[in-house]
Amino acid sequence: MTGHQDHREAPTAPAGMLSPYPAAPPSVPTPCPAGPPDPASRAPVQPPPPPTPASYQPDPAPPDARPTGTADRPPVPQRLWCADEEGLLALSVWTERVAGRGEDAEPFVAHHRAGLQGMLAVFDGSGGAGAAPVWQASDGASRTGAWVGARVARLATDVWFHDVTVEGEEATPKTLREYLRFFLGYAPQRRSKISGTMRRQLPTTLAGVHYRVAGNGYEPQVELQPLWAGDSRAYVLRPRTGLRVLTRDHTRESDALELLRTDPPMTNLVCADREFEIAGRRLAYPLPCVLVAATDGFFGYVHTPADFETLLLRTLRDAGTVEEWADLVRREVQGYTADDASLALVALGYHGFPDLRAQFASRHEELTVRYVRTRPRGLDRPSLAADGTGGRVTGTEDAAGLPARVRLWQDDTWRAYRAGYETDLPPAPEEHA
Amino acid sequence: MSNIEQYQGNLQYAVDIVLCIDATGSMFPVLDSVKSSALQFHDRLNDEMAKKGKAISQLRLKVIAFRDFGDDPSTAIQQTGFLRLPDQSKDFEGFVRGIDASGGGDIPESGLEALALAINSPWEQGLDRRRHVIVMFTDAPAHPLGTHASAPSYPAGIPGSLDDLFEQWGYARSQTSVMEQSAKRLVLFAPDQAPWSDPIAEEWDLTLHFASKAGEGLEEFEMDEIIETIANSL
Repeated sequence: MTGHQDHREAPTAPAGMLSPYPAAPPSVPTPCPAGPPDPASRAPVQPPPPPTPASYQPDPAPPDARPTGTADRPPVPQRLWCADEEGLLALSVWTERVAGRGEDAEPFVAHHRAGLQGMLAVFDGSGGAGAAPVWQASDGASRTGAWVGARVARLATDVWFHDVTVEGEEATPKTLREYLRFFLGYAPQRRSKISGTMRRQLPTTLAGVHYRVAGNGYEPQVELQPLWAGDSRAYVLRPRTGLRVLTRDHTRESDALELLRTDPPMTNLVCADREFEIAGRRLAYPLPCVLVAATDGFFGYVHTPADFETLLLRTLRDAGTVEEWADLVRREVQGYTADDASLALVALGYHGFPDLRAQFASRHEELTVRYVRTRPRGLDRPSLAADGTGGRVTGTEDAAGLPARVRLWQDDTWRAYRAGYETDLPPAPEEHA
Repeated sequence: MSNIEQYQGNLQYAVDIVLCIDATGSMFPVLDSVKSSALQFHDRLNDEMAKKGKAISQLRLKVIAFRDFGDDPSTAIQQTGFLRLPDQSKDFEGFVRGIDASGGGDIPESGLEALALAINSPWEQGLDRRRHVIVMFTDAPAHPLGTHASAPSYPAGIPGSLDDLFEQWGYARSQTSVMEQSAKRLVLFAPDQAPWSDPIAEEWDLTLHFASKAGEGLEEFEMDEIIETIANSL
């Protein structure tokens, strides 16, 4: 399914996998990663663009991009993808903070219609552990171990999902780990002069959800299996309960606000040279619901954990189509993040985009009242301000007291938001590394 | 930087760096290169961070030049306090340029005492997203801690053994760490010898080791990769 034409001798594949496998390095991602290459059987179909509502002003050029023909500064790379069909809405957003230096792989989203199951996942190559260049692309560009690791992990996840749906492979964290180890074993590596406990070969995070639609026509539900390694996250989003995190970061700290403040090192992540764990668990939710996977470029640069959900629902409110929603999400994240950012989202069981938007309207209003209108003045950039002033501090305001007021507001909002957000937080595992 | 600016850029990084520099005679052939690297370190780190779109809200550097308490205790440790850059750049440059390669006596040096002083530095405790980075430049193995503890200028409070120093560095669920777990990093430009490669680089967490041959390998270190690695880890 992913173009395995190379029949060179290869080591034994994990049980149930296609063999032989290519020894070639991963290819540069395609512009619109709709998941598997067989749209008739697996991938949702991207619809023609619907009419534009009044609330959405199309912006064909991203904020940091120049019009075609101006070559003095390249546009910041970004890729959007979406699908809209009965009972299934999906989108992905991928951006680089600095052109050509991003280490997130493009999000993976696939839905197998016949099997009523799907997979969404994101991959954040870990530059701190994998800064060394390991591969030179055909255009001469040098790629780091983190860059390669994220993309190889995406490829492994793609093949794993294919084999789960078509070949009867067991959908477990253990089998996904075997596929990751197998593909990483074939990826380009370079012996480095650098060693030490921070060092990893082809390090990347992985966070995703394998789902299967189940239940009967009266009580449809979705069976979920969040799968993760590192500090990217998966969530479930529902109108009454809001955003609930399904993964626990592999860090020694687990408090989401403290994680925002300290950005601690990971204790487990996918890599080619050491043992790693793919964590997993099984859950079930009634339909409809929304599944989300995101790298820390989305949730690691907000002021309080509730901001991420607010971003998703504010942009949902302002969009007229899934495509517009993806574009608004892209524009928002590029406005505040200091990292590469990627997100995959699948909404199951809604009767089209208007139904989805309507069902979350009251939740968005609730978030606005609790977490947006209470923001300290001076905290926000204009795009996040709630009162239309841009939130800028005037000369007469107490600028010196801003950090203390922000900290107090963060503590208060986190206290209010935390219980719901952590309802499905996995229990703490045993320490790694 | 004002408080306002800190928040306009969302979360920024407060970076403290302690440079431990072996200033013994054997470093003579490479000390100029090490000093040059030390002097460029903060600018290159700033540049690399800027390329990644990350901002440093506060950058402080501290330098510890070390030799050998067994040779001449009076010159075994010379150090600055934390110097805030760019405001105190001249103080930083003046100290680094004044380091001369001399003395040292036998092959092992007092590098572990310098590391102990670095670990116990007055690190920044406020601001968000703190990073506390120790960078060790040496071409020699180290005397066991306490070997020359009776020397008159031997610093107070130095741990008596490498195990005790490891306790101060800390590890998972450590109760004795003096370093902040989420902030600390240890970067070693040191020979592939004890104690640098084993146990420190292999067993202490959050380490990077650029192995060199004693007395010559420091010329080979790959500063671009080093800086990029540190910047990426921030």
